Amino acid sequence: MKEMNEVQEEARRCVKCGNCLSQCPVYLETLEEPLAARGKMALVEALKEDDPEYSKRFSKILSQCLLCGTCSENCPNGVTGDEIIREARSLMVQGKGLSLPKKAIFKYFLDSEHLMSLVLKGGASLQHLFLKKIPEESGLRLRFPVPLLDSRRFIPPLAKDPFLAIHSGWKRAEKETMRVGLFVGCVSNYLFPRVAKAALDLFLRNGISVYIPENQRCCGLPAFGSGDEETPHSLARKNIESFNQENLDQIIAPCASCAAMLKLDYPLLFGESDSFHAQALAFSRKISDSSWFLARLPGLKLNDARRGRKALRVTYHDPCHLRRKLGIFQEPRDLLKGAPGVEYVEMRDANRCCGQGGSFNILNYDLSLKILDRKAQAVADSGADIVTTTCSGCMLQLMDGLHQAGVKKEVHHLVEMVNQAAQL
Amino acid sequence: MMDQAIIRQITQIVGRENAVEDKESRICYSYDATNIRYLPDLIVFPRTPQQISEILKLANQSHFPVIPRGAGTGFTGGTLPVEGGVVAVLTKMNKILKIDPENLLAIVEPGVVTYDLQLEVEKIGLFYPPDPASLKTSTLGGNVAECAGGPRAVKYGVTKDYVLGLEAVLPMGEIISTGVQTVKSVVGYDLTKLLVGSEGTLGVITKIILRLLPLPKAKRTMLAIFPAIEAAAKTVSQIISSRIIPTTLEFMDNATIRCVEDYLHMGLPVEAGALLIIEVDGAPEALNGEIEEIQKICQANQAMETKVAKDNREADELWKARRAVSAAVVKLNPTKINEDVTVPRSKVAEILRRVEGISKKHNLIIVNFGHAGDGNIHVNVLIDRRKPGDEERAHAAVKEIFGATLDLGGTLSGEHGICITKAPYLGMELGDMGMEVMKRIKKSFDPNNVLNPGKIFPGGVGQSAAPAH
Repeated sequence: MKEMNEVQEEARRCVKCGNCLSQCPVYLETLEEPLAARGKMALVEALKEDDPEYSKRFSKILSQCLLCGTCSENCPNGVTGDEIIREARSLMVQGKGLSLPKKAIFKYFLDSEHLMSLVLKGGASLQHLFLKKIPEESGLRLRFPVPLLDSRRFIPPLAKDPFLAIHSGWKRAEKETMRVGLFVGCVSNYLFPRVAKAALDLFLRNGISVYIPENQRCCGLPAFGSGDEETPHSLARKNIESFNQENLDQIIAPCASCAAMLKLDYPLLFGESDSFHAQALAFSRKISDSSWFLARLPGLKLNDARRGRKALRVTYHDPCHLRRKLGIFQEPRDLLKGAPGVEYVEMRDANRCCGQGGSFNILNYDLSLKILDRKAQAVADSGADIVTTTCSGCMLQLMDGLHQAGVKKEVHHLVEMVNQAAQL
Repeated sequence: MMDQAIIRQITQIVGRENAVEDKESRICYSYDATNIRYLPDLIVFPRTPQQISEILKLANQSHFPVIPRGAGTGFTGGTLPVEGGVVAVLTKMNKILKIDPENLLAIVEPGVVTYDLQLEVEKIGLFYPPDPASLKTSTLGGNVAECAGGPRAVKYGVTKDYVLGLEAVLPMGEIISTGVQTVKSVVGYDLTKLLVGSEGTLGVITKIILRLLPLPKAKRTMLAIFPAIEAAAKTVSQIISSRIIPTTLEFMDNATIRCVEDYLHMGLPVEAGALLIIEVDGAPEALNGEIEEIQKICQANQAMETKVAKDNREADELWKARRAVSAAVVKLNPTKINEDVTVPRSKVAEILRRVEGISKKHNLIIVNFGHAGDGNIHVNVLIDRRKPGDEERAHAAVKEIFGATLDLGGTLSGEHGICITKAPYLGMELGDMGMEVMKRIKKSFDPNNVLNPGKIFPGGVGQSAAPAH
């Protein structure tokens, strides 16, 4: 956790050139200076250390940032706008505390031993009471108004059984050459178990044994992004302990947002003097994104059965966490180009943020939709049948966006695509 | 602080959703790219010239300043509300109203981002040449108000060469149209040319008619490295005298090269005196000949190395160094005083020699780079604002640099403007009578000095808009 003067020192490096205004997805929709990185740097600079006035307006401005990192990527002065904004959120949480709903969700739900899985499992069986099926689509819509959830929203159904309830512990491959852990992630666990299953099948088919600790938790990113550092600290400890129980070569996180959190932020949650720091470092070194991992597997076994049949046209959306935080963008494209029966097409602005931004899209649904619409148009214009990505947050957002725009394309995780090519 | 009653009236004119006065918004609209700050009292987003007219009429009655603003990327304080007042942000008036390929023109609202227009017209094989470094963020309204330039000016000229006509709201609220949609016209005084570059002090621009060119079919890029500035400067002169006008002719001096190499580690020759980036555009058949000719000239002037890009990707690589300059130089010292003096092409080597002398005399780090092709040098004095004495020495040096510039037949600003940062030196170039005539024009347009007061003329025009606070 940084001190205010440290954060301000970083914000002061902004020379106000305005480059970020040409890139920020939120500024480009609203044309409001406070919503660009440049404006927020000025606001952070203006905070008074002894009496920071975290006004409602300041709080709202800070919250209307996707943390997509496009500003940082394009800053000629190397000012890391998104990191400074997250740190400012953290200062606010330290100074004012979290809002009550967020506190309840982060501390008592995400970080709960059983509550989260209980609620979501219960929710799965009761969901038809709250949600109705959208004809001709695989999603649902709310039957009646629910606070915070816009009624236009396209909601994928909760899986009947979370992934971890069915698949956990060791899954041994025939002729094992490697042992990896699988960090499933909440969205895959409760909504898209087929993603984690695709990853599992691919690994087993390729001689890789997989360890799936049943007690793995949320990676903590939703809380961390909001400036809460306590909840992620607690979650990190539990996740690291549960994976460190086994001797693993790598730990694969199919969701890029989880991967970035686990790899880049976990070590920062434990100060160097903290006895747990070394374990956190060792854990983070093993974390790999799925596409990076698969692209490096020698002789990745894909089934050739699709060769000769009409190719599926597939495009790819770069998750912000994968491209900007982890620097990975070529591997997913190479995997898709190499998959038999797949014709890869690049979409316009593939690396433009989808507008999900964690809680951004819940609290700023209209703005999120506007940003998303550009992505949906790009998908439609690409001529692809399927859009793939490597982040579950992006998957949710893309499904909603394509639905709102009336664009009938399927959304799949990259590993499903690679595995599907292998099985079809 | 402005009267609440007046703020309410202004809010009624633009609508509640287009007026903000909270503290956070005021902070965000208090700066431009100079990073100098002055807080406004109110920020409005007008959508029509009529709204701007009503606000200005009110401003004349109730005496408050109105400051037009685009994206706020200017380098001379043009959009800073130095006397407080109402900042009128034009970014939401951002429609491209018409692109006319038959008549080779475009009609745009002031908030259109320059790059967005360029992309649109290039889709149909047309070209809007002025390319200020800020073009992806800055607006055409801002470009017109400051007569923005860019590297392509050596061949294509600057913003004023492309403005056929304007619609503007004058300081007393009158809405006028100036200029034409035709190539030629001489009807009365050229108000268009008066308004272009007037830095928001004579009118608020609400519509712009721009001249377009056909898009050049091809482009070639090369890099040349020289042992000394003089060799590079001679090369520039000779290229022009051999009747080749490159699209861009950019240079970087030794200090700049070292700085960028430190930052990017791309293998730039840190012992070189200067490097030139040269681009030619036009019919592909002619380009090879032109590039060869240019290479010969470079070699005749002791160029240590010349590199011609084979494709767009290689061209991009060559430009990398030039584009990184802005970011690289602040690593030498955090405060950058950024001047853009312009001298006749033949005097480029001489001004650089004199700047070097001045930098040694005042013990300052000064790096030079920019548009050698038209003599427009970006002289960057790098200091640390926090160190006592740094600012004083920098200002003394800048004054001497301006003196040298004028001595060589040059001008204080090629493309950034005067506004507040260069106002103290205006007299040096214009002389008393020159300044007097300009002030008369300002007074006749704006007798109550409400529109963007405190700009251009040091010590004001004689009357302050806002009551003292």
